[in-house]
Order: sequence, then C-alpha cells, then structure tokens
Amino acid sequence: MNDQQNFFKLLKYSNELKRNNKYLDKEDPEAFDTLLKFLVRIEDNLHYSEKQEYIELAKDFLADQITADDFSYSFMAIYEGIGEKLGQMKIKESLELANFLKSSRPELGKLLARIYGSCDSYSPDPEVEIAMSDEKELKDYAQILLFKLQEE
Amino acid sequence: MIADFNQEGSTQPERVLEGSKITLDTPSGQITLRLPRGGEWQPKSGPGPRAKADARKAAANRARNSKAGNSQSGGSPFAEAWTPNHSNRLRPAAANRLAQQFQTGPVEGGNGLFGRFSARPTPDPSNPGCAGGPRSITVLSGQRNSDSSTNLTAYDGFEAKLTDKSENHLTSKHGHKFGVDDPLPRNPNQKPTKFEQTRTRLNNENKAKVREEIKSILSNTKSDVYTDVSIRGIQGRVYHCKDTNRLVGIHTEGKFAGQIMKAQPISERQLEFLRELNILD
Repeated sequence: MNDQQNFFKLLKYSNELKRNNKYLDKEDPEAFDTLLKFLVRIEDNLHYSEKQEYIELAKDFLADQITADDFSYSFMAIYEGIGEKLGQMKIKESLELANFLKSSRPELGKLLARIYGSCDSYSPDPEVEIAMSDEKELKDYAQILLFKLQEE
Repeated sequence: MIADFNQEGSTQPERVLEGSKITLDTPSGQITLRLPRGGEWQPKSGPGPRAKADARKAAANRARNSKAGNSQSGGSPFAEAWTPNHSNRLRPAAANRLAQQFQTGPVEGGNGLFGRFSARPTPDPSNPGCAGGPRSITVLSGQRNSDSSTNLTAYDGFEAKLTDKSENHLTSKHGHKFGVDDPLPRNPNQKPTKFEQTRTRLNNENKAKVREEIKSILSNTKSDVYTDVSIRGIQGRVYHCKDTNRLVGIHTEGKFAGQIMKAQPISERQLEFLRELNILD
C-alpha cells in the first residue's frame, strides 16, 4: 500500500471513529501517529502553497508599513486560515489532499509554528501579563521567514 | 477595551445610553443591549441572584407581617442588607454621566456603576468567622473574583486563574475561533488579503463567551491533558479538546504559575510538537 492509499484509509477510519465519539489516538495510537505525520506533511505543503501571502506580509512589516500588532494578527489569520482549510478537507476526505502529500518541508512547518506562538504571545500593551514576545522577536522571525521562503 | 468607547479617533462604535438600554451604532447597523442591573451578570446560582431572592423573600415576609399587623420584619438582616435600592439605580442620565466620568462599562459584568454588585463570599457553615471579622471565602469554579479574574477548575481538579487582562488578550486574538462573531473593522492601513485578520471586539458578552469556551475545554473529560509542557519556555500544563481542536495552556511555574496563558486552536504541526516534544510555542 502506498502513502496515498494508507493516508486515505487512516483518515477514513479516524473520521468514522469521530462520528461514533471515539478517537483514533485512543483506539490505535500507532495508526494515529502515522496519520498525524501525513497531516503534518500536508499542512506544511499547504502553507508553502500560500508562500506569497507570507512573503508580502513579512516585507510590509520589515519595511515598517504595518505595526507589529498588525503583523501578529495577519500572520495568525493566514496560519489559522490554512489550518481551517485543511480541517474542511479532512472532513470531506478531499482527494485534493493527495496533491500535498508528496514533498516534505519540516523546517518551514516548524518555523511557522514558532512564529505563530510568538504572534499569539505578542501584545503592544506592556501590562498584559501573558504577552511573552516583543516587536524585536517578531521582526527577527519575519526576517528568517522571508529568507526561508525566498530561498525555496 | 470598553473604557475606550467614544474616544476620539476610536474605531469603536459610538455608544448611546438611553433608559435601561445601550444602543451601539456600528457600521452594520444599530445594536441594542439591555443594561445590566445589580447581580444580573452573576451566574444564576451565584451570590447575586441568591441575595436578590433573599431580598424578595424578605420583602414578601414584611408585606405579610404588615398585613397581619406584625411590626417585626421577619426577613433576615443579611437579606435586608442586600435589598436592591431601585431608587438609586434607575437614574440613567446621572448614571451615564458618572459612567463616562469613571470610564466604566455598563456591560462590564458587575464592574460598572450600573452593574456593580460586589462579589460576596459564600457563607461557610463550618467557618462562620469572628464577630465583625471576615468569613472564609469559598471560590467556586467560574466565579469572578473581586479583581475581575476568574478561577476555573479542570475536570481533573487542577485549578487555574484567568485574569481580566489575559481574557482581553485571548478574546481579541482568538474570540472568532471561540464562537464569537464580532470582529472590529479592518485598520485602514491594512491591505486586503486572502486571509483577513480578525480582532474580536472586547466587550463583556464576547469575553464571557470565550471564558465559557475555555471552561468547556477544561471541564471536558475527553480533553487530553499534557503535563510537563514547555509553554514558551516555561513549565506548564495543556488541555487539548479533540472535538474542537482547541487547547488551553496554563503555566505551572514562574511568575504566572496557575495562570491561563494560552487558549487557541491548534495545528497539526503544533499537535505533533505537543505530543512528541512536550512543547507549545
């Protein structure tokens, strides 16, 4: 069985369990780990397919055309928007998912997840206790992201 | 912030107070909200409604006793002390001026001049307190504290605190992912993009909705619990709801130990980080 067949088999099984209020990670942890790896790969590739959105955003921020606050919200919007798209495709067991199974971009995926965390923790209000990142951190990440996406 | 309503240059809608209603002029039309009154924003089983019920009983007793020619009140002194004074409350114009002067929000649950209904301790029969001294306070999960923070208890008994500032931050950032559909208009300097950024308007209704969603993640017995997680480099604990794919992260060490630091949707990559590396960035 190739990756594509294996992926759709696991996705179908996971969806069936969910409909019965059961979860793949409890029923078959090994299968869940395999499915998660496929989904991570697909998600990374979906992000890559929207790389122009990330590039434009990083450029605007580095050129001081938008504030750190705007960058944080806009980055999260792209990241979450792609996650939402993947969520819908999973429910529908969309065959389009197969197009994003091919290559692997783990470095990009890890970088984007870290930037999301930084954006989530950013607040221009210094009194917000849970604000654990600052503008400099976001600028550094924007620089790295731009470099990474333009390199690929 | 609610207190920022009507500030010059603010993108927030204009607020008009009239009678016991607030009318908000938003780009999408007028929204009318009913003004809260003392205790109305408390949970139904909370001390506010309980005190009001006591007061109603006391008033009914007084009426009964008066009809029977009994001069004794018949109501408990505690209930009488909390009998709502409507003559002081039904002054919208004056109250409106005061609210503006002190920048209080009428929809700020029990925290405005209209809605002020200070948190009272739940009487503890095993600890009645010294005469004139304070009783012990039993904090129930989900109740607002006097500093506007909320104590929440997870299904496994773990307790966490949600401060007002954290709640503002989480509502603004993730309100739209926690069932709130009340976005602020896009900043004029923002380019329109394929994935539109969403900042959720901060008001009590929206904050309460997010708080309830956080509560439901913590209280859902199906939520996975990850202990010993590094939340942005600090030790914490994460509750992940698989049905909604959202999580709540709590610091267990450091300056904000016991405080809810994260409430967000989670991506596949973030879930992998969490499961394999015990990391939540």
